[in-house]
Amino acid sequence: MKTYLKTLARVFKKHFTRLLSVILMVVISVGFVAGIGCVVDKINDSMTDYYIARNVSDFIIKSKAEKGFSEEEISALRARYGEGVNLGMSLDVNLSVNGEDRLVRLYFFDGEQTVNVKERKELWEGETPEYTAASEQNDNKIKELPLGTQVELNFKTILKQLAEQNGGEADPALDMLPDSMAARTVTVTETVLSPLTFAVDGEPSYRNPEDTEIPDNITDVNNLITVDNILYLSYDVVPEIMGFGRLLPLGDAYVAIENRNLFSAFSAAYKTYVTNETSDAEDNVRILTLYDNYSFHSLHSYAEKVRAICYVLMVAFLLVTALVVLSTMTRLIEEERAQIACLSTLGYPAWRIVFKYILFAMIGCGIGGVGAYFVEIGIARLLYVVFHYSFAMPPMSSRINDWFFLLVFFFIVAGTLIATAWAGRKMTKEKPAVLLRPKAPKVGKKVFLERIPLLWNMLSFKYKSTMRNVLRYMNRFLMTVVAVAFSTALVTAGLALLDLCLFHGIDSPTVMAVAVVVVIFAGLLTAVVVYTLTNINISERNRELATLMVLGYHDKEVAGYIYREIYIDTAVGIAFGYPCAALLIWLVFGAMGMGTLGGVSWFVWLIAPFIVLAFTAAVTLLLRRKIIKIDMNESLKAVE
Amino acid sequence: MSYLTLKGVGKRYQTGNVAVDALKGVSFELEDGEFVVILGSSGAGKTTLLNLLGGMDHATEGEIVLDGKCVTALGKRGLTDYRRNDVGFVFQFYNLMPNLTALENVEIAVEICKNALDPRTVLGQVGLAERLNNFPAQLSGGEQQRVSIARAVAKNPKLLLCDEPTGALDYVTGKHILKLLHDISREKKKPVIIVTHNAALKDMADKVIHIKNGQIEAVEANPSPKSIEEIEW
Repeated sequence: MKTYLKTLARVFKKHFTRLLSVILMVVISVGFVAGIGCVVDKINDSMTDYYIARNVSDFIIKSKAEKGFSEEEISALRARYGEGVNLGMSLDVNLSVNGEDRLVRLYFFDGEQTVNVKERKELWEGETPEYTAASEQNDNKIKELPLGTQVELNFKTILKQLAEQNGGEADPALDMLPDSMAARTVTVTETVLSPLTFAVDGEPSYRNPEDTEIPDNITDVNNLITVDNILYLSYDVVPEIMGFGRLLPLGDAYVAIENRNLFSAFSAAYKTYVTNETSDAEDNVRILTLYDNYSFHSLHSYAEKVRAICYVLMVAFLLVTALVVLSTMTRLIEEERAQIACLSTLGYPAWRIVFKYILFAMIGCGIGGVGAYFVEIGIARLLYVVFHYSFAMPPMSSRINDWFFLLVFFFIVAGTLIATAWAGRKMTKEKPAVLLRPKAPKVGKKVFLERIPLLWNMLSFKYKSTMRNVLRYMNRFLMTVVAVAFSTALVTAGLALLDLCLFHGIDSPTVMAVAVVVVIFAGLLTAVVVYTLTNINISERNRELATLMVLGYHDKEVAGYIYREIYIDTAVGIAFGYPCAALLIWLVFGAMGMGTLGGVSWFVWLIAPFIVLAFTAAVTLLLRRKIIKIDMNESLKAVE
Repeated sequence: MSYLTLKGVGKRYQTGNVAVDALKGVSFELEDGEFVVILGSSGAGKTTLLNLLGGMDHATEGEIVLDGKCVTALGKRGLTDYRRNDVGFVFQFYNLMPNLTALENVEIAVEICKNALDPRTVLGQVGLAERLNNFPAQLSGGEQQRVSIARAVAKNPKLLLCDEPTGALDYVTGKHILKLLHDISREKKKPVIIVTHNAALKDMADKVIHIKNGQIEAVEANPSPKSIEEIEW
């Protein structure tokens, strides 16, 4: 056992670059996929925590009756939903604020407000005025309203505007009321952040037609009427006048269902529940759920877009990783041929021989998994921060929600396990006698190009040899082409997303950040793929390279022998990458519901191959040392 | 001065504090057209000597002069050019490029050197005129070694070095190959050096260099070399 473990340690030492390949592939692909994928879960968890902490209402029932809710209706609501029912009134009116005409949403709450509890930012420190108001914190659309600002609310004009919105006429008797009785001056004593209006792009006004679709991005919300200010007031502010009663009715019921555990803001189960609860609404009420709330809706929509990008790109990333890890492990086991033969003749059972390589792969995956976890957290944090540009996000939830990471990671681990076991099984299935003999080098043969003498004779000798090599190692050629094609597609898709944000008016920092992350990780993936496959190429061709050295080829010429192949593989890969890129972009745009394939700027298609080539060139420079370091004497001895 | 002169050539490998002399104080002289056998058992330092002669490694001491050119004074690039133009190498395991035909395997060596011979002619001389377009895998071991010899000869080198050229071949084929190498030394007027552990070959050599423990044991001139047909092993 001790010696067996020693041979295991040797495998690690000897195949260090292979271990590095496995680790890097796992770090890059699992880290990227899980990072992009889990940000949705992070947002979901954070928003859910936030909504629960702020006791956000699950739905707002707005009465259409002129007198608002009757006592019976209120009792019925309380009977059904318990204490989580708060009454109030909300409406959008034009007011003169600081000498400006602004569209202001007014919320009047009856009694102590227990739902939609807002986050208080600043508190007035002077003497408390008779009538106070809290103002929604200013952002891209909500205008500044400093503490101490006094706003005059003339309920006569407010009622007239309300009646106008509802297509009716205000009570003509109102004209009889003197302004001094119908008007109240409120002073802003607090700035607050409501859990219902955290999108910084603006809050659509009630004045938009009732059937207006809730927009899911800034471009669409810009086409709507949005409010300039939001004021939260006590219902006590509304004057009560003999003969008129309260000038404003209680027309809103804010309902927070009692079972808050049910609340998982993004879950389908929640949506179903809310839809069921509100489907039997009567004609005289209008029900607003979170799904009608622009802030919630657009955050949800952005998060889903990120998830959609993730799901589409995931397939390409994981496939390339699986392919490359498979070829790395296959090659490693091939290089261990003599040792496997030796252990086999000594009577070691196949599983024990193969187990060593499985352990090698697992440890590579394990280390890669740890790295990937950090990359995942990094990407998720970065994107979460980016969401701050469009939303006043609550602090990121510390809830551990790793199902997606584990899913992706286990896919890679399972793939590696199967690939290694399969390659090992193939080797140990051979009779030891066969294994003890060196594997015959791959037979050279004429390639189809040679049947076209016109073309073949145009090639210089060097390129003839390269073409034969490329086609001789068909497996590796195909694998490189597939990997480079996918990488090209990923880089192009990333650039297309970036292009969408920069040149096509999709002004979304979130999508832009995702695009940058995609381009960087696709580039890294390309580099590691080319590194790994070229590494395999060099070790397979050690003897040939050593022979060239003995024949007096200079370092540059020897390296060129391998480089020409890489560049041909890469060129073919890029050529196939274009249709893959088109498909990927079409899928990504389709999944996101924005952008068109035809709309992608022409230069995206031009830049993408250069990025792939740049990463390839960087890798070839890195591997140059490995090529010229080949020991002529060692390589030309008897085949191992 | 002789065509090839070695003076006090040595090769020391330093691993940590341990220094091992693979070769020490090797001196001998060869004339052009000589057929030379370097004889020694395994580990005696034959291959090290061959590597130094072939410009595949640097000597740590001494001097090697070939046709007036001091090989031991060459740098990395100089040694590459030396391998390119001045020496031909025949390996025990042929080391042909598997993806090139017989003709192309010769061409790949020839296309970078200065005074090369025509690959087709040389392949004809080694008896492979009919197999020019065959890949190594389609050739027998003896045929592959002929390609390897043709590749070395076509470079028109000043020195032909052969490392156990019959080591991987059967008896009859081995003899054919030796005959071919012998003929080349006579026709091309270039020294051919064969490194082997097979003592039977010494009878056909003009000069035998015995090597043991990294040192020259004896340099034995053979005034009447036997023809290859008379040798048995």
